[in-house]
Amino acid sequence: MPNNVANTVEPAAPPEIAPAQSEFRRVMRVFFGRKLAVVGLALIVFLIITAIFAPWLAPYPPNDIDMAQTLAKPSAEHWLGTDNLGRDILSRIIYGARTSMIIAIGATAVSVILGEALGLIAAHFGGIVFQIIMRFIDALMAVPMLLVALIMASLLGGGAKNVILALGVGMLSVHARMMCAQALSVKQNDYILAARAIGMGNLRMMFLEIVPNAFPALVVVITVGLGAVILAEAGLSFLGVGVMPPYPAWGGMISEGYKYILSNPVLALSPGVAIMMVVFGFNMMGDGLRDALDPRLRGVI
Amino acid sequence: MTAYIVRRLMLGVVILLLVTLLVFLAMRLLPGDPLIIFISQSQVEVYSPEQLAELRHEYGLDKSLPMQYISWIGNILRGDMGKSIVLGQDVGYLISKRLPVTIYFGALSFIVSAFLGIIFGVICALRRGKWIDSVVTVLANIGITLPAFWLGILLMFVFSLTLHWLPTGGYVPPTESLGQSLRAAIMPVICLSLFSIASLTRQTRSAMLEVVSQDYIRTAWSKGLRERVIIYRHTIKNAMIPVITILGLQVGLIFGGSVLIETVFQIPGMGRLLANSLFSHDYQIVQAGTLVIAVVVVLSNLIVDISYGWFDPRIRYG
Repeated sequence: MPNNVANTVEPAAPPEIAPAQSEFRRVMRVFFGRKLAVVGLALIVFLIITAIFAPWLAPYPPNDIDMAQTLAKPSAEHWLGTDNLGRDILSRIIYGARTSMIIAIGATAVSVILGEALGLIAAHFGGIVFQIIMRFIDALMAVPMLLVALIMASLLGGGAKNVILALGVGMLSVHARMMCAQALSVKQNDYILAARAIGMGNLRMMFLEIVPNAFPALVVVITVGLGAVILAEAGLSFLGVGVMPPYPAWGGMISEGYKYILSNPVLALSPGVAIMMVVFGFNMMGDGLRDALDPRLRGVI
Repeated sequence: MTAYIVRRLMLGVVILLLVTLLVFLAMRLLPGDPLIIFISQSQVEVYSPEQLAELRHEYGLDKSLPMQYISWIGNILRGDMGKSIVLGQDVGYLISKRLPVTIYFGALSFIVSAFLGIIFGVICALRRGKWIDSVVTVLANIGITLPAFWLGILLMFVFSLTLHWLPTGGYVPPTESLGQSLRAAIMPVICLSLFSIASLTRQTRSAMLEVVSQDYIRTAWSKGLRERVIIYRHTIKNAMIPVITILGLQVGLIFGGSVLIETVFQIPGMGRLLANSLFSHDYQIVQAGTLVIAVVVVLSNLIVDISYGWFDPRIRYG
């Protein structure tokens, strides 16, 4: 723990000089040298496996109602007990991993595609285009992300697809800002001038020169962003505008369990532990990736 | 400097105008006719088409979209935020009742997180590698992963329902009884500020460590400055710039969090007003409330930008 967060800044090898292979090895070495980053990676791998193999891992189907055993305390039969409809909590948490994963990936994809595109266009063309796009992004950032997502989700109505869209729009400004800043700094380099000199077009320039050079920063932002989306999704589900009720979502389970907090606190508290583990995983992985890919980002992200 | 502030204020006005545009378009273009939803919810009276048209006219919903937008902006500039369709009350009045409550909890949270976050970060950096650094860093890493509303439920379960030490929530105006007001605020403020404390600790720690390795700090040591001078005047002051950026972001985060925390602790603030209004499609309130929050966020960003110059005179306001 002591050494991992704050080693002195080691300048990243300039990508145009270092051969690709050794750069990749260096990144791997730094990343796997951080204990917490490895713990984070392990948690995320665990989440993905849980999400994919949920039907095999879960002891019961997630929506199986057993009115004979409602609000049961944890037992050998039901490790984490049952909810007010007699549904097995552990199974619902396991299936909830699926929901979280799908929404995190979906919303991140939406925000990355829209946000990066806007940031890239703003930075590449500059001038009035930059002003218009970035002022709209500023406006989006002036409203708290959770509120943006909440407004979108409640207007569109709940359900996985709308939640993905709402969170995607909520996270969009972060990605646009980041991409814009990265692209502006990449544009300062001589190889961009060289590319322009040989007559490279706008699209080729953006995708062959700017995006690859801004890539390390994007990977870090995306990783940390996945955790942020999961937290925000839990918040939306808690408020009742998340994924539709019978479908297990961690935030929704907390909100349902909240009513029975005195009789069975495990109900509301256990899904929170799942959320924490996953968000912790993404954050620690993000920290490790940041140190490995681009330590200059420390302080920015 | 003055020119810079004026320019930033104008930019702020532009951003707020765009916020109004985005909010307005979102409310009008996404599905759901507010009038119909309201009437089918009340179900008390049956309206005739004439009455419907009259209502629609009363709320200005019969005009074209651009006209609705312009009249809304015009009214806001005159200080009239409209009338809530569902609650039947003046929106400005509702917000003026709720906003101080949210600002009370928000300001407390902001102060607590700025104070603790920076202190923890500085302690960690100065005691780098010692047990206190390890403990605080681990706690900070956990702090940025906790869902605030879940923490609220956990705290309420332990301290209110089991130990009966603290009230389960609610809001007592500080003018009524400062002691009781603060007692009721303890848990909500912990929930609202925990994420900020944790991320500020992380930020301060790494900014401090970055500065410590700079040449000018080595110079300061080698010319024999006292440790205290080096830490306070050279290290902390220089490390504050990225920290202030993060500090500015906390205002929006705290407002966003208040939607959840005010629901958990039954606090009659803006967050709950907005959440309830969204569920009842009371979009006069949502529009105005979102705008009010954006104003607070934009103003605090302005303060952050101006304060950079105090911490780092090298920054020029060109």
